[in-house]
Amino acid sequence: MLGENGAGKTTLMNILSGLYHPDGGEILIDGKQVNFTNPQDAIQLGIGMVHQHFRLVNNLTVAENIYLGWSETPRIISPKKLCDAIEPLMAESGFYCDPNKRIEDLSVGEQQRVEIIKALVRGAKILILDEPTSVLTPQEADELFRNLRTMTESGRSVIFISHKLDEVLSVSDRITILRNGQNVITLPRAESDTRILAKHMVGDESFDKKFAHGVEIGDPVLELAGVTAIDDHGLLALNDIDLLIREGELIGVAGVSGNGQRELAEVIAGLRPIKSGQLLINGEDWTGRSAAELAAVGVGHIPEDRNKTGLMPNLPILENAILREYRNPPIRKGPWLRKGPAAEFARRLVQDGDVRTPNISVAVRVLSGGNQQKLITQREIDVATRVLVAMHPTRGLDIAATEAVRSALIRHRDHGVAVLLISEDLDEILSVSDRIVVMYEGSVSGSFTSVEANRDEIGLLMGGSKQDI
Amino acid sequence: MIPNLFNAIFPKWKLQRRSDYSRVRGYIFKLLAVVLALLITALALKLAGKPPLELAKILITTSFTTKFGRTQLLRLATPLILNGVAMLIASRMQLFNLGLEGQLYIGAFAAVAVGLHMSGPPTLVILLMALAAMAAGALYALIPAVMRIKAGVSEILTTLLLNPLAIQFAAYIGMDVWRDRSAVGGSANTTPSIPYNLPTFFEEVNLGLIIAVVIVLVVWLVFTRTPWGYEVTAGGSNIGAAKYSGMPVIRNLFVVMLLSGALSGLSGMTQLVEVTHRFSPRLSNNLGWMGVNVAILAGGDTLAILPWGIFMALILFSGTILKTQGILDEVVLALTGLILLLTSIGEVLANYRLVNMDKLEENAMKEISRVDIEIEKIQ
Repeated sequence: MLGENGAGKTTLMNILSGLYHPDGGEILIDGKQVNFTNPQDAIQLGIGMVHQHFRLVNNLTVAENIYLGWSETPRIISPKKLCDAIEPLMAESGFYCDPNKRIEDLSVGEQQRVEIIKALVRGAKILILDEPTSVLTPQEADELFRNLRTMTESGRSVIFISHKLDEVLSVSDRITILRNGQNVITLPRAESDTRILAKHMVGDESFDKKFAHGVEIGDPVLELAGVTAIDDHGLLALNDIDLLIREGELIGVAGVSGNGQRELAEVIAGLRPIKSGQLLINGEDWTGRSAAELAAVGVGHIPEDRNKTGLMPNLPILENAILREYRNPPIRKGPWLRKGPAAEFARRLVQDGDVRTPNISVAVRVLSGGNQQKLITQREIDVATRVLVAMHPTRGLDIAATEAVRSALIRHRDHGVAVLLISEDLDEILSVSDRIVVMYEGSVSGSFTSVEANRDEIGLLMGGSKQDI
Repeated sequence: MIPNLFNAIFPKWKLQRRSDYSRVRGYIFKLLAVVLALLITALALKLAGKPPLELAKILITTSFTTKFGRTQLLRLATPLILNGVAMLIASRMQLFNLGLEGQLYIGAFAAVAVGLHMSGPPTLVILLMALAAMAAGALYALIPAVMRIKAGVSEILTTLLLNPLAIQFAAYIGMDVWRDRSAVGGSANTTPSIPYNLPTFFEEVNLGLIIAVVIVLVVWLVFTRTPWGYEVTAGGSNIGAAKYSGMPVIRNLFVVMLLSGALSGLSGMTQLVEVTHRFSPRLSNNLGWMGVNVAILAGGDTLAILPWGIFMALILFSGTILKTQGILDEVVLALTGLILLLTSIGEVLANYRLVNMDKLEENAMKEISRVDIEIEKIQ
């Protein structure tokens, strides 16, 4: 099932899983009309739901989570016996996860597997997965796809919800597209391709723009020389990184998440100390400077998580717009923060960034994800007179918002700014980058120009294979 | 919670969340809640055989028409406003300073130490007392601040636990170390009286109140009109975003906590110099806690500290008056609790509207037929 953010996919699936009640219409299972009043009924009828945000208790074990709220759960049982009891059920379902482990110690992919096991042991014949790949690394996603195949081969049905065209194409037998709460079309896979799907999904042909390169690549702007840094757990996250970005150049950083990309962005933005090595901007040493100092010298940073770091969701647009600019005149004058220029600045960002909002005093949390991201993007573009670091800038956005953010990055590159794009979406990187570097275990494992870039080779490097040069 | 409960009781009606937020509506609901709390108290008094209307009349005439009443009221308001704004400053960065009562005592202790043991021009000594009180209050708040910021220990617990320690310390000082050995009776368990007074203006308004009001105005100005105030608001709203922007978050956390302690300490000094003149564990009588209430009632709105502080003073003062009418002043505590409970409910309810389900359906049907007619027209 395919559809943009807000097309109604999740609502429909919540009805199927008994969380919401339909106002009208009927649901048929095996040709018989059924009625659910709660999630228990849906489970009884063989519908299992894996939510995008997992419904697991972090400090309980895998076995405990599977048995939680299940009618089959014995009233009194020792943890040991609970684990023993779950093993054969897992074997039957074809999925495995160590039942003794606590949820908080599992990777996201493993947690998702626990959710799937939970649904399967309860006898799910129809499994609904709501955007299951949005939280997974590419490897984990591939594994999930293989597992989904195994499930359908064993006679179960799977509803796979996504807004990624390629995934839907690669995994589905039939594809249904929702737009504005309506079933637009249902197609067999054989009759569909990316272009057809995208057309139905967004409703027009505004897809697949090519980004021509605008300006000549100029002098070096940002240079990392032998940079080493440690992560939050004290482990080596960046190992002797050398990186050079020039004026008007967009470098894409490919890699499976967790290979040092976040630390790379933080080092450049001044949020993470550099253990050894140098950070140069226009040839000057800026190693060990604070985030505020680097912003002042023209380093903008679109962070990975807009709700946790990029924005203050409960504050109005105005306060969010001036997050970087409040230190500078005209917003700051002497000891004062002036509301007039601040509002003017916020209105300009909203206008330039095409943020759809009734006014600048609404709380940012009521904006859609796309508009939130457009606000951050415009704000950081305004900071980034020299360098712009963008980490997963289009993650979770629908096609229209994705296009808006991407073309904003491109336009900014064409103004002569050095842009570093970190993304898990290889298509995104391939379509916009002038040069592509691959990160693996804290090092740059390969570097390509956009002409010589080769999907397979990049994929191999992301997975840790050595590049033969 | 409340909407669910409501739907369970009245299935025909539904509480629907409003999409817009209106400040005025919030104020109206809060005022209604206060009125309701007063009515409930009046009903309780009536049932207990006391005439509520007459009591209210006595209360209002004593508080507002007599010089004694007005002076008392404004003296009570001083520590309430100071502690209210102290609580509010810390809560701007999501720090909950429940140790105001203790910081007040420690501040008063520092003030009495200066007042008893230093001599010099009164103005200078009073100034030093104020500075010592603020420094001591800040230092006492530093302990939970360090524990929270450096080690992640919840400041709610640590500030709370430091309160009895401060009060017992006050008992030790007042009843033993600096006990007034010349006194007999009630004042035998306190320190000697300090020979200083703060000046009053217009015969009724004490200097402490003026200082408190000025502080509220300054804090409001700082929070709304300065870059630092913005940093505090940002840090309190999302600490991740504040760090990302390069704000000195750790430093700001320390500063707000120390400021909070300093203002509470200052309220200990004004209480000492304006009201008790002696230091003992009866110096405050929950003024710090009432300050927490004031901040909760003001709900993050700095200027609202002023009216709510005076309102709380009125409630506390009414306890004194009720006592003269043979009613236990514990009634006041019950009333305070009732006001807090009802205003909190009112604050939530202000975001909802009441809809009749039948009407809702009727309107939907009307809308559908209207659309149908329009479609027919087009066809």
